[in-house]
Amino acid sequence: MTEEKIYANGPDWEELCREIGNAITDWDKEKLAALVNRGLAMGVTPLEITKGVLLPRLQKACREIDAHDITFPELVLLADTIKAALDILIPKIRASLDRDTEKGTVVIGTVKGDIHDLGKNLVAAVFESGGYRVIDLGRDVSAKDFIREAEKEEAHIIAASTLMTPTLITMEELLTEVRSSKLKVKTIIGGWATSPEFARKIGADAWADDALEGLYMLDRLVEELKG
Amino acid sequence: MTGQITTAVFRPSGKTVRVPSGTNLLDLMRRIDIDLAATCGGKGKCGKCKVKIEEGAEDLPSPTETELQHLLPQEIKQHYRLACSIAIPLVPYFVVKTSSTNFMEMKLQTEGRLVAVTPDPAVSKHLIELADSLPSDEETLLNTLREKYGLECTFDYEALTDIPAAGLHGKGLVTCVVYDRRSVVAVEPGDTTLNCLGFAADIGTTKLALYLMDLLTGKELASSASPNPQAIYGDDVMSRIAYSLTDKSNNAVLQKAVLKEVASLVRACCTKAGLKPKWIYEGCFVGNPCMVHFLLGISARSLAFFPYRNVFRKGMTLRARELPVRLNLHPAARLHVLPLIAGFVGADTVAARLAVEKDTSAEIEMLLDIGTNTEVLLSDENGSMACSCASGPAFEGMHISHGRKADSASIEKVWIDPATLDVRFQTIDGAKPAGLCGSGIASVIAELLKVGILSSKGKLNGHLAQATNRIRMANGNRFEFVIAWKQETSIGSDIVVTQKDVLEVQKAKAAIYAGCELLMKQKGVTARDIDRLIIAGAFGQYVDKAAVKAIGMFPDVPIERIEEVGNAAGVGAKVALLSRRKRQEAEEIAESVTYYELALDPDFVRTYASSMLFPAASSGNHPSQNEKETGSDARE
Repeated sequence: MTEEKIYANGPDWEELCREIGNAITDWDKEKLAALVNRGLAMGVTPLEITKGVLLPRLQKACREIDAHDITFPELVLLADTIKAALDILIPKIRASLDRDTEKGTVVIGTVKGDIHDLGKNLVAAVFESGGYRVIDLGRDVSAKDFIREAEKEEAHIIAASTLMTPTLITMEELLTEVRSSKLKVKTIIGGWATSPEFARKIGADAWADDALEGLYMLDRLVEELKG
Repeated sequence: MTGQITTAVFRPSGKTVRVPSGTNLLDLMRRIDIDLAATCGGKGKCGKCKVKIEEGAEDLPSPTETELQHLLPQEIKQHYRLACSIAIPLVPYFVVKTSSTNFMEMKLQTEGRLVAVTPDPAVSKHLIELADSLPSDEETLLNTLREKYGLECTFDYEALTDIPAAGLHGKGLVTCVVYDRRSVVAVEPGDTTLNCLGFAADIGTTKLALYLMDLLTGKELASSASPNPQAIYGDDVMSRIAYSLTDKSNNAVLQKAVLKEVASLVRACCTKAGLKPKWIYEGCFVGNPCMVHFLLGISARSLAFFPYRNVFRKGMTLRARELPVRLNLHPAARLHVLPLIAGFVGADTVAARLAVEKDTSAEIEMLLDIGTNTEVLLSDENGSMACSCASGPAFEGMHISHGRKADSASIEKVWIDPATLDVRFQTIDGAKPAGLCGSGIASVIAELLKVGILSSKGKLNGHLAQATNRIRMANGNRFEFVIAWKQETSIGSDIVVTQKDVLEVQKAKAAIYAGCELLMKQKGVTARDIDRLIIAGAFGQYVDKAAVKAIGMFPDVPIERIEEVGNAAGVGAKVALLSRRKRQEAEEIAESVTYYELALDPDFVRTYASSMLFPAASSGNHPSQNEKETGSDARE
């Protein structure tokens, strides 16, 4: 409670970032939520918080897991904690975006036959906090639903994920149907079972290893579409 | 005398009944389900219904001629009799001990309460004497089976083709092989009633185990195990299904791979026991749904996609020769596969439940069958619910740097001195160690946690490298811990636990813990409510309950309520092979269990992730109960 006064005296951005970082390290969702709300009260914008602290912290964790500096459970818990902060910020980001300011529309889901949506949920949140309008179709989504929603929402991107190996088959079927639908849409895939080779093989426009790489790829794909 | 009441007590079961004196003992035993291997059907021909009269023997008439034929003089002195030949005398108490060789001796070296059954297999053999005046034909044999053994049978086509030769070479004797007490499946020349074998097989994702059983006595004659050869097509069920879907012929590849291995295990068991595989009349299989689909050559496609349906659920019987690989059993041999529950919970879980003795005093019971897929079965007064957890093969010794299957050279227990950080270990048979089996892996992780080398997040503490040379840097940035030095081992190198091994254990135990936790939530049960926690599966002969509790593999159930029962699925397969009644019970178990799909639980991910932490060493509580504590050490 005493901390509030410090901020009330004038926003100390670096101090806030440091504290948010600690809350994430401690997997303390409640403290993180309180800090995020305090930041918002101080006049920091939702996009500043996501771009300034949350996404870089997530990116750092992804690099650390590659280098074995943190373990897989730590990454999962850390991502879960960050997701709690994104859940506060996303409605505000969504409200602040309109046709002119949003970067593009993404239709996202796990493919038919796969219900493992942990990764997809985080990716959707990261895309949204990166300035995209995200239509999350959930899990076990048929090719027909992907295409119908993409058409209805005039989506720029279809993003599909699968954790399981057998459902790579349904992902391939999805890509075939998207191509034959003649929709003016780019495709990006990801998930544990996928690989860049597989993405090339089935003709996806992009593949990403993690949510942040995915966000970066979105920017490129949308540029290609518009340019 | 007839008509007065006698109290009859049967040992070792302790069954007690009040019956009119004059009742035939064998008839009574059959009525109350104490089965003896009386192959002749109570006609005094086989001598297999031998019992010992412990009380009341003096009031029996002298042994009959039939009894004198089958019993040795010293046996008669010790009051051994044939149950078929005696009537219960008029005495207050008549105490009968059923011969122990007729009981299945298969309690493993565990304390768990596994069922014992008296053999009543689906296959039975019946000796028929052909009088010179009688032709050896279908009619004669069927009439004799009816009159002498009380069996209403029909002939299989192949059995008909056996008749002429059997009649010709049998010297007046033929043996009818009857399946399920209604089909004559073979006719053999002479008296072959003593040669009646079967096998039970546990088809695991990682390991196959096969047991050769004597169907008359219920005794295990030999056992053999080997890795599942399908592993080269994928370690886990999902990657194997993916393989099976990539080409039309791949399903057959998987089926043939496992069947060939079953054939070689059958051969190995027969060689060990010095018996011919042609005397095997039945095999009983258990396995998870995916393994069972592959075994039968049925596409597991529907198991790969949500909502994960099985093509079939009920137990089934087929002829061994219908399969594409010859197992070289008796030409008429049957194979029986136990029923599946649903989703990824299959015949192995049914078999594990079948093997564990019921305990009516335990209201809430949880059964864990630990393997590459671990099944959790939670039962309360409202019924049973089951889920399957993708725990991976770490506790089977796979994906662990120095993991290995449980044998004489595997370390099964480890002690670390908290002061000196020095290590003592114990191998299963005292041999020089070659690696760690599942219980050894659990034990070393528990000790590392206890002495603080391992943090609750699963990190090996490099700061302690100054304190002991057992902690050292490997591959530049990850630590490992030396359990046994090169000169102590049989493999010419140190036996170590690496950071990656720790992670494998974390993933495995988190999957199991999360499954338990979410099922408990479904049923509104807490760890303290659980009256009985049964651990079955991959650990081999021995599991240190304190160790698996310390690593947080399952909810915090008081240790005295935990029972370990070893390979209960394998025992269940044997039980179902030996007893038709148990086979029926398996169907009832499969019908009564509700399947719960973990992946659909909204709390799954969070529960799984937080279960990856180890319980704090001091309190013994699971981290989900004190996250603050574990969170604080992250800042160090």
